[in-house]
Amino acid sequence: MNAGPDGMNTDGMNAGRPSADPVDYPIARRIPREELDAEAARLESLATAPVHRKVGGYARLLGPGVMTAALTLGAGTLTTSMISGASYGYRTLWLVWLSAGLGLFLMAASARFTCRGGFRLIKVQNRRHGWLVGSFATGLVGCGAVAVAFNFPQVALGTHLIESLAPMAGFSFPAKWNWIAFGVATAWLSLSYGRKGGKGTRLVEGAMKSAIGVMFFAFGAVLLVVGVDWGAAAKGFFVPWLPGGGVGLDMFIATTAASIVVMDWVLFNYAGLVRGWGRKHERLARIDIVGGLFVPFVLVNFLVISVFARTDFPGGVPDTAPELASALVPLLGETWSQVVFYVGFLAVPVTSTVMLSVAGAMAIHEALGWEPDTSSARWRVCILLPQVALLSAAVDSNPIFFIIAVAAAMSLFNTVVGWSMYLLLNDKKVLGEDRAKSYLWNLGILLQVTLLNGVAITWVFNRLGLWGS
Amino acid sequence: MGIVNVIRRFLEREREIGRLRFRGRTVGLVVNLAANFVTLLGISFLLRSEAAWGWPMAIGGGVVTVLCIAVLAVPVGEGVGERD
Repeated sequence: MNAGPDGMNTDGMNAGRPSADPVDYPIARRIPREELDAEAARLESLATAPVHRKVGGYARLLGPGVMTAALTLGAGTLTTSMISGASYGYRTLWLVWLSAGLGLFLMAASARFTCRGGFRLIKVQNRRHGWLVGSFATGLVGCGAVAVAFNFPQVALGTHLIESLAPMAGFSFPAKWNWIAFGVATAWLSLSYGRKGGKGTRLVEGAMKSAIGVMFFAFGAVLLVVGVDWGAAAKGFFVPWLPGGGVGLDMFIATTAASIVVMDWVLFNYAGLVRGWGRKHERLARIDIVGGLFVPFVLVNFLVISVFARTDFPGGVPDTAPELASALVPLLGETWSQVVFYVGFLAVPVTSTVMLSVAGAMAIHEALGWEPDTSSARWRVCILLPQVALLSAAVDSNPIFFIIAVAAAMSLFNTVVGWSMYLLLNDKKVLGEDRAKSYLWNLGILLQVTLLNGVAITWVFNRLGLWGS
Repeated sequence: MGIVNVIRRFLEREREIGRLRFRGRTVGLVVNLAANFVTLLGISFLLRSEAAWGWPMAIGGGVVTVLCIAVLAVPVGEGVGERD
C-alpha cells in the first residue's frame, strides 16, 4: 500500500482506520475548511434536534442521493413507466418500490465506501479485482460509454418537448435548432459542478432538487386532471402481478435489477467524496439514499404510471417517450395542463443529461488515472463528451448500433461490477472493521446481484434464441 | 439454517487443508451464477413446453441459488470464513 498525504494511501483510502476527517478528493479540496466543519457541526446538532427541525435540516443537506435520482429518472426509466401504465394499468406499480428498494443495499455499500472506507471505488477495484473490472467495466463502459450512449434518448426527448412547448408560447422552435438551447443549458450546469469552492456543487445539487420538485408538481397536477382509481392503485402497489410467460419474467428481471446500476453506485460514491463526506456523514448518506433517491424515484414513477393508467390509446401504445407524450397531451384538454406536463417532463432529460455528464467525467478520469480538476481542459472535454448526442438532433439521426452495443455491454457488466461491490464490502483488507457485519445487508445485495445475473443470462438466451414464450 | 452451517464448515475445512485455492466468496458467486444459468435454462425449456428437462433444472438450480445466497450472506468473521 503506498503512503499518501495525511496518512492515506494513494487511493485516498483509510485502510480501515477510524477517521473523523473528510476524505481527500481533489474536487473537495476546493471547499473551505470552515464550511466542512460547519456542516459537521450542523450534523451533530441535528442528531439531537426535534423531528421537524431534523426533517428540514437533513433535507437541506441532501445532495448525492438527489443527484442519483436525477440521473436514474431519465428518458429510459420514464418510457418504461409510461408503457407499463398504458399497457397494464396500475398492476405493475409494485415493481417500482421493489426495484428501488433492492437498489438501496448496493447504494448503502457505496455510502460505506465513501464515508468509512474513504476511498475512490474504481481505484480500489483496480487494485483488488484488476483493471478489467475497475477501469474498464466500471469506469469506461459502465459509466463513460453509458454517459454518451444514454444521452441520445435524453436529447431526443428534450428537443422534442421544447419543439412541442414553443407553439404554446406563440412561436416555433424546431428540434433542428433548439438543440443549441438544450446543449447550452445542460453544458453550463454540468460545467458548474465542483467549481468555485463548494458553490458550484451546491448550485447543481439545488438545481436537481428543484427539477425533481417540478416533476412532482407537474405530474401531480396532470394526475389531478386525469384522476386516480385509488382502489386499483393501492392494489397495484401492494399486490404483485406480472403478465404471463416469458414476458412477465423478462419484465420482472429487467425492471427490478436495472433501475439502480453501475453509474448510480459510482456517482453516489464520488459525489459524496466531492462533498467532503467522511465518517460523521454516513447517517446523512443513508438518509440521502432514502429521502433523496428512493422516495423521489418511487413517487415520480407512481405519478407517471398512474397518469398513463387512466389514458386510452386507441391507435395502440407508442414505444418512445416523445410519441407517448404526444399521444397523451391532447387528452389533457386545457392548454395550461399541457404546458405543465411538458415543463415537468422537460426536467427529466435536462437533469439526466447533466448527471450523465458529471458521472461520466468522474469515471473516465478515475479509469484513466487522471486527477479531476474542474478548471482543466481535460475535465471540460470529458464532461462535454455526452453532448455529441446533440448532433443527432441537428441531423435527425441516431447511432442505433452504438446505443444497442452499450446497452448489451451494460447487461453483462452490471453483474460483474455488482460482484465486485459485494466482495469489497466484505473485504477485511479494504474496510477492516467497517466491512459488512449484517446478514440482511449482504442478503439484499446478493438478491440484486442474482437478478443482475438474470439480466445477463436472459440477454445471452435472447441472442441465442433460447428464450421464448 | 442447519444445511448452511454444514456447507460453511465444509468450505472452511477444505480451505484449511489447502484443497480450495480460490477465495470462498468468489467461488460462491461463480457457483451462484452457474445455478442461475441452470434455473433460467430450465424455465426456458418450460416456456417451450419441454417439461421433462425444465422442471428438474429449474428446481435444482433454484435450490442451489437459494443455498448460495444463504451462505454468501454470512458476514466475514461470523463463525467461519475468517480469512475472506
